[in-house]
Amino acid sequence: MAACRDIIIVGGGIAGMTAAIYAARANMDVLLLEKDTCGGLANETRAVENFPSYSTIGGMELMERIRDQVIGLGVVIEEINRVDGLITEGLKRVMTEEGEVEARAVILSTGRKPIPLPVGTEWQENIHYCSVCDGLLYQGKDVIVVGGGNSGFDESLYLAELGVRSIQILEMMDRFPADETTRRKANAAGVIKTRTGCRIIDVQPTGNRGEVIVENLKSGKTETVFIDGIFVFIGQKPNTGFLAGNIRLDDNGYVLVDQRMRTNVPGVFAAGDVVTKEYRQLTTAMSDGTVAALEACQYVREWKKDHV
Amino acid sequence: MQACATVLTTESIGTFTTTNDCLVLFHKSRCPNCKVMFKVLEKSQQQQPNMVFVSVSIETEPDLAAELEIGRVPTVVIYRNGKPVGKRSGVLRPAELVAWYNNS
Repeated sequence: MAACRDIIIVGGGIAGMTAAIYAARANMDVLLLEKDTCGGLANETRAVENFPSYSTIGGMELMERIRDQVIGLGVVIEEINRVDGLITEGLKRVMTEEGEVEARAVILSTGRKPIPLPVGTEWQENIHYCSVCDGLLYQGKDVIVVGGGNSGFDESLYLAELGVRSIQILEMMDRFPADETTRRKANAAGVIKTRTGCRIIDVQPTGNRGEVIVENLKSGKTETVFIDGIFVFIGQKPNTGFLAGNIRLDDNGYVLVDQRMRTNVPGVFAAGDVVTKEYRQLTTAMSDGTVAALEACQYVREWKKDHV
Repeated sequence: MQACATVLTTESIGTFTTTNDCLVLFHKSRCPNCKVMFKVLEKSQQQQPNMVFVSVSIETEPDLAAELEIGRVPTVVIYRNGKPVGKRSGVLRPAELVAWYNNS
């Protein structure tokens, strides 16, 4: 096994990268493990317009700038290295798909992942979660976007720009959670229709298209819609499956922490979207990462005093 | 995005794939999963240094993408002796990619 690190950060979104900056500047030996590439869900945001210092910046560009800063501070980043388990007795042992690494403290910042469409179907090839990746397939075609939050509207606008012929946004609630500015832009696009109070209950392939049954949640009546693809933006769920009972979670799978970002296990901290909290923003994730790193550094210093 | 892989175009892909067995990554800028696949290919190449990996932007080469029926990105196509012998879309883990390449 490699030498024991001071701190291992699991997850390279903005919370994890902020924690890495603070821990590195406190002279800690830091390893940051990331399942995919650093940046997390922010990589999928086309324009970030609420981040102090930039009136507008691409999510991917912002994350790359932060990653550069982290590397410049000497933090070792291992991307494309998924963490599969955590053993919390004594020194923390982090099991990855490439082997085992050990640290005095661990910060969990694994973020969240998209919730899949809750309808079983054999039409999976035409169900998507990334309009930049798959939108081009639907130029001149008809799609449904599931989810009426800001993501659903933003992604619909992107699909409209690509030349998708018609877009129907479906929202289960009786109002759209998306902000008014975004909704107004969508209305002006001309090809986006919106519906609240409904959900998809069945999807079947039929020829080259999909037959979608949409249920009106008030009346219970159903309607059949023929479309070419479905894009799903109905929120996220926490990436905590690998914790397997070691760390206390809430009923929805989020990590429970105190105000100092401490979990129930001494030496294990958590930060960002993966923790139980009210607001999930880049700036709140940075705050969590800062607190978790300062606390982890303090924990490591005390550990070292006790183990001279 | 990453620029470390050799970049192919409509003009160069034929000659390159005839003279090199390789993996071609079709991608777009600002595509998060494409960014992940660049890293996966880089990591896979570290595990298997003889594996040649090149890239094609479907934004700068839309006609080539259309001709090869590449609609989704990232899409990886394996070429052997100038012919495409395998095609997969989406994100793969390095071990999965190496196994697929060796069995194609």
